[in-house]
Amino acid sequence: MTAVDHGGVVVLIPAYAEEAAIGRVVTSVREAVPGADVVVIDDGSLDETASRARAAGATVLRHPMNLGYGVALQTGYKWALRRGYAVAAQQDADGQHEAEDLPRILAPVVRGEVDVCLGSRFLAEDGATPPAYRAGIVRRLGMRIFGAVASLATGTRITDPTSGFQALDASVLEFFCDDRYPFDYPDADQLITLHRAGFRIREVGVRMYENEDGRSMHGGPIKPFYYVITMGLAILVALLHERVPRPARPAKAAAGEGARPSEAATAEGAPR
Amino acid sequence: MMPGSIIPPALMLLYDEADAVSPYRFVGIGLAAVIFLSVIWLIKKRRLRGEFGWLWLITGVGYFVLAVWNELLEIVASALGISPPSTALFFFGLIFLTAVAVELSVRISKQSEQIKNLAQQLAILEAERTAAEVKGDEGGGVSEAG
Repeated sequence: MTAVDHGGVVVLIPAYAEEAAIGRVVTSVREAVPGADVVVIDDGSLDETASRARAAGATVLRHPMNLGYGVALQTGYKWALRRGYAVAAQQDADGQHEAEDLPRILAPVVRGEVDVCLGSRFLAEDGATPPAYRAGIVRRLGMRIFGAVASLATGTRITDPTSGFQALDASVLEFFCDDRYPFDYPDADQLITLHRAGFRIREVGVRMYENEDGRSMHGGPIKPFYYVITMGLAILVALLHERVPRPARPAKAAAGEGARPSEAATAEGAPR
Repeated sequence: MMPGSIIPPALMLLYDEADAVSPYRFVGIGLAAVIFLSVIWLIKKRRLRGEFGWLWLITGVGYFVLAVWNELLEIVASALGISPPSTALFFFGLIFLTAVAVELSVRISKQSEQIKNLAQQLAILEAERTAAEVKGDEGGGVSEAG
């Protein structure tokens, strides 16, 4: 096992055909969290995404083909576990998330207060103005409803369940790398599953921008309806599912502990 | 049923009770033979492997048996109270094909998972190799992988 013990923070950026934005995003992340390693997961791009990310100072994990956003995230999680990072943050590569907000979503997880910290575009906090985030009425309504359902189910106020701007404790990464867990976009059903597994979740307010080139993974005229229906079903499944317990691990030790993350890395690499 | 018929109790896939010497019989037998031989050819060319080779081989034999000895279909159909007998063929054929389709879907899901894991592992190992190379020639230019 080639587990290298960083015990530190890694920022994961899944990217597909983002050659225009990726360099700037990597640079801004490195400026915002100077101590963190930046990893770009290139999801089979045919453009210059990988080389530009590398040039900007990121480690690049390249999928041999396009496998989707969720899988790219999981590749990042596997990397983080293998290298023994204690905390991972994830940010989109299209400039939608503001790297300056990274320290705010990282802080509660690094301090060990929660296991999952979400950046919400709808939550005003610390003087940050919630921006006028434009989205279709159906999708908006869906997000509202599912946010409410997720809040009820988790006992935590969730205003932005689809936020891909998150910080995760290594134990959450391990949970997400289990083959039993169907991996997909971050959304309400995932939060409910995490809560039921015993993870602690919190939201903090962040700024979020429209996709710079207007693309969105949730775009299109039919997709919003499709989204509302599938997410409704997914939440139902998440609630019906047998509880998957979070991985057993020793309690969080003081800062700078070494054993915990490398143990996780070893467990990940061991044959099941 | 045609007891005492001189003609062997043979028929094709679409059974025609009134006319046992119907040319359809030969169509049925011919079709079964084509399916059977196609499967053999696919196995020989290694385009069909493992248990699926066996499955389709046995299916081909089954078609052939039903085409030649169609009384079997009648016996099964009358035992189950299904009439006309061809209904039994469609009924069981549909169940069989559905089962095969579900089994294939399960296999595809499993293989997708395996391909995903392999691709992830490849990405991780490649990145580690690149990192090692960069460390190796510290002074020199950054080696570009891929």
